[in-house]
Amino acid sequence: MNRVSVAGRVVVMIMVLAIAACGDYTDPVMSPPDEAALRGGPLGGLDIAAQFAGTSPEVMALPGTVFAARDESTGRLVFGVERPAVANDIAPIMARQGIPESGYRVEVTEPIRFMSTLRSEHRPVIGGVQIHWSSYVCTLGFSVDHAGGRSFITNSHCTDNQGTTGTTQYNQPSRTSSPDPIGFEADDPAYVRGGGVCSRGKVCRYSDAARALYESGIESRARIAKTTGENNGSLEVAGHFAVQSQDNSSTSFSGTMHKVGRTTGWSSGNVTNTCATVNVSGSNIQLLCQTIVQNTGTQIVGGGDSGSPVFTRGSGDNVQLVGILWGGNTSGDLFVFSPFKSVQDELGSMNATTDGVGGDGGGNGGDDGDGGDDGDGGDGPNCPPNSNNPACR
Amino acid sequence: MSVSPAASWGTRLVEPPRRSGSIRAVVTPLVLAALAGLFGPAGIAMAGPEGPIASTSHHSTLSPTVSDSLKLRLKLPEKVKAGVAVPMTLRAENLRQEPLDLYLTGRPIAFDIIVLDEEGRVAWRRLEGEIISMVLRMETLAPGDILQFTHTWDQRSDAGDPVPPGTYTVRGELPAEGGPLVTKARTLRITP
Repeated sequence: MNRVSVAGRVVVMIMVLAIAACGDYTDPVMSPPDEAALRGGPLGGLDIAAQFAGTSPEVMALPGTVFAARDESTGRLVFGVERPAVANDIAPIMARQGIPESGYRVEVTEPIRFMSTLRSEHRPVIGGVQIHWSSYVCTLGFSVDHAGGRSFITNSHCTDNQGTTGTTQYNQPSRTSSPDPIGFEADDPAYVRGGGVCSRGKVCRYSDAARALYESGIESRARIAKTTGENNGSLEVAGHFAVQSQDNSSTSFSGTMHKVGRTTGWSSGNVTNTCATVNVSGSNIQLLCQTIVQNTGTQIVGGGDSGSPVFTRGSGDNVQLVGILWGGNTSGDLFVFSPFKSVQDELGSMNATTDGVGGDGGGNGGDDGDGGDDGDGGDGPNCPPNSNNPACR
Repeated sequence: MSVSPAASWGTRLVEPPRRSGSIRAVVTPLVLAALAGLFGPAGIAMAGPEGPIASTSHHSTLSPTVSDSLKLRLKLPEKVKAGVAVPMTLRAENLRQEPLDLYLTGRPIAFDIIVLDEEGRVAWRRLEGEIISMVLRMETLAPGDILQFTHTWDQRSDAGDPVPPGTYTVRGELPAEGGPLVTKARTLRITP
């Protein structure tokens, strides 16, 4: 009885497999080339390559098309579209070329996008992305409206001369990939001795922050790049945090702090020390009233993250800006940031919650009436109208 | 554009001293070609400022796993008497026939020296408890060029106490993008 049963099962399985195989064979996707499709219409008699050449340019010009390809195994053209309705736009083109429906197929597929990272070019400019100056790389903190004009904030040590307002030129993400500068250093207050708070032999400030004036026409947003996840090391930009508010009054903090930087992406940790005096390794610089954030065993900071915006999260992707990161330990599980209040105390009042354009407002130029002589150039800088390049002012 | 000595290209760089140590870096002209053409379409991992040096890029940058391009060596005496200051020199030399880009952390460039006792415990670490600025410096070494850092250890532990005589293992590290560049371990005997 068992023997018969087993044999019967084997027969049934073979039949099922055979039917399945036949089923596969009758699948339209796997069917052999439609001879009629290869012969009819203006492209009749042409091979699939010619069909492809004759139709794909027009099809790919349609909004919502993703790709065009040749399926050599079936002799069909294949078109990828973002939504089914696009197929209705493809049909007339194919019909006009004499290709029947059986001569091609349309697939709905995800649109293909360039992967944007924190080291890609971002226009309008947003916070948390890479900037390049001289032979160094840092992170752009955030963009602000300032009495001096539309600006962005990064670290004081991300300038040519720390503690001296110079002419540092910033490119985003780098000078090689994006040769036009996005801005020039506009304010980097001096570090000072004494004052009853600065240790002997040290020079001090309350924030490691400098302001750079955007070049005319450079748009910037009150946003911070958001990567694919928190503390996952990803640099791929998957959205944005919206800077909904800024902390204008706090120098002491608690709880979880977040940052986004070009090296370690979006990371977070808990405040372990607040309003701490911190010496910068290898220098005589001392920063007063800083906040230390740690996430033991997790890398939350790395070289290049200097300038990262530090924030607390609200609802959804809304955040409150609380400071700017400047340092960390060698193992990378601890970072230090300067409070936003201290940044304003040293650089002047600013609003990080608005969008803007370089050259708008402030005192950054405007009068281009008599500066027209751009004749011989020489070795001078290339000065677009209203440039904030100090050499052009 | 004015450029500070610390940020200039093609000049000899002298960084300020730190504690009892000093950093002296021999800097070569930055080869612009090394930067040119690095950047491809957005999102594609590239070397240098556009991507980690340990990426799949073919650019002549240094991955921490690549040791035939860079000779990283820690120089120190094999034997010293207890209480005598120990000079230590960390040297990074480009062994290639072409420029080599290094992406190093800190301003001034940070370097670490770690001394382990016979049980493998850290007796002293140069950057223990230090906060370094998280800037990334692109340093290009021409063929044969050497980047050199020096420090004198006073034989005191991180807690400030003199370490006892014994045999210690010492290694140097350069924090870099993609992970620290690490020297081979050296042995130091401290005799009574």
